[in-house]
Amino acid sequence: MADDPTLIARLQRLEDLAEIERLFYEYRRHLDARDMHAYSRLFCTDGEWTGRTGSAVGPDGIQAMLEANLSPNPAPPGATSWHIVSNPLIDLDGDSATASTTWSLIRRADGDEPKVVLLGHYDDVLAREDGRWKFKRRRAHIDIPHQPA
Amino acid sequence: MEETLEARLERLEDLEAIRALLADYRRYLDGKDFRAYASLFAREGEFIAGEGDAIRASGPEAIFALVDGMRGTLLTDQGGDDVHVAVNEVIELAGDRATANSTWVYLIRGEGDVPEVSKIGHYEDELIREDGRWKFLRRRAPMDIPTF
Repeated sequence: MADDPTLIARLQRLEDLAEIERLFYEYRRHLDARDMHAYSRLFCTDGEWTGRTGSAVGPDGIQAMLEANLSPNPAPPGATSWHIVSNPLIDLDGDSATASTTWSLIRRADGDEPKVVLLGHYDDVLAREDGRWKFKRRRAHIDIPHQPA
Repeated sequence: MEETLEARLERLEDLEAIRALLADYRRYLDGKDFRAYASLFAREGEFIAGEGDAIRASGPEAIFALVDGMRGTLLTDQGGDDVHVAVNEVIELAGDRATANSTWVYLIRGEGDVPEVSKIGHYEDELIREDGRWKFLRRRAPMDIPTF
């Protein structure tokens, strides 16, 4: 069994899917914790992030962009955010992959209540870099509310 | 050393079993099947929640009594009037132990019979394989919004 290349390939596929899905949840965890450094290391050396906040390339560039545009979390119970990431669809192709997910953003509203403020989706290109799956390109789209063209 | 195929397969099986545990938790909780819910905890399992971690119980029997007592207060009295949406799981395996972090969103039947996002929080879990099954050794369920 140990030498069966077919079995190894099938197992590798499942491992890849599990690791990529986990990447999506680590992404939102670091983002919501405002750990911009850990967040930016989830991108490839030439990884790209594009969204309403702007566009940036490479972990250092992405970290700098986020630090310039996202305010850090204030002390509890400050205005913090929770991304809900769901519906992952992943297509593997060797050391690269494409994926889509949906996300919603819940914020602390006036009156200290949770409020869904944004809905959107991610379009991703992923790559295995130094043995780990990372974002090669992540496009963050907002679907609700309508965004000006 | 190269990991054996069997060890790699077992990792995937463990991840899947733990995901099923997290899903069973919310299914039994929302179904008000608190006996089945309590059975998801290890013999020494702990449940911790509330302001300053003040709500807590140890062992399935005490956890059953605690959660059964939440009916009509922290939980709705009737099944179908509330639902926990459990998402964003990140699981770390370490042999017969594991840790997990996830988000919970608590939805209720709101005024005017519309779904309402009532609360949001997260789970911090320590898991253990006990008698061949993954169980909660410790589940902490802090609420993030609203503030305690």
